[in-house]
Amino acid sequence: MPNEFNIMPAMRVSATGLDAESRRMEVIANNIANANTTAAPGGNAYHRKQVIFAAKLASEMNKMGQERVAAGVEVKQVAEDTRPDKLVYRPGHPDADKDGNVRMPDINVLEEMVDMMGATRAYEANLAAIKTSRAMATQALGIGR
Amino acid sequence: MTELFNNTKLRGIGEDLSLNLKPSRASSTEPSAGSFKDVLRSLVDEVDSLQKTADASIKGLATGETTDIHDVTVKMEEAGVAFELMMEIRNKLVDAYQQIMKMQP
Repeated sequence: MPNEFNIMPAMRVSATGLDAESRRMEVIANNIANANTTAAPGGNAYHRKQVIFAAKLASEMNKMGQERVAAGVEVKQVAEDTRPDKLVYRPGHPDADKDGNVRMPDINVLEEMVDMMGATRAYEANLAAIKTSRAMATQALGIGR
Repeated sequence: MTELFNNTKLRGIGEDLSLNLKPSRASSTEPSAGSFKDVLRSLVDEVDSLQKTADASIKGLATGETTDIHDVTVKMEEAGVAFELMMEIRNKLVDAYQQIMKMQP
């Protein structure tokens, strides 16, 4: 963090959560958008992607010399699903092989929908955490009043 | 927003109080040696820089540099809370100053 002045560390942590969940949402949207893509870069069918989260390293020490445990989450990698392509018999299709089969991505839109719901709920949970840290800060500011 | 305070009484008050309020043992316990005025000034500067960061991220969103709405709102929220903290400290200072001024009949 370049900014030393961190009045709400919990909010920074939740912000990384929001970041990660929105990356996940992007990847899911890309999966749904490409559910029927036969010509992804490289000439093959599109392969389903998924994000892999990792806990951020809490190596930073704060001014008092205490180690900060909470550092948030980050997207470690956008990995490709290893499931094989679906073969669909479509003889006139420009991407068909000599037997008339087209390789289609094996994307289950229902599965993506469920993933999407998970991403939405996780995003909401992070938002709730942010709201709570904000409320706590406001309450602390009101101590003297 | 914090430019408002550059010319107001806030800094003057800090200067005055630093003569009297500096505790004698503070020099041994506090790592950052400096008068109360300096501490106050650095707080104002930090709040200012938070405001500027929030401002820059709003600009980034408007110009299409970034698309993260949550990043912008979190930064705005942080800047807001920092500003509230600064205002709270300022109010306390002004209160203290006024109470001291009321001591003379």
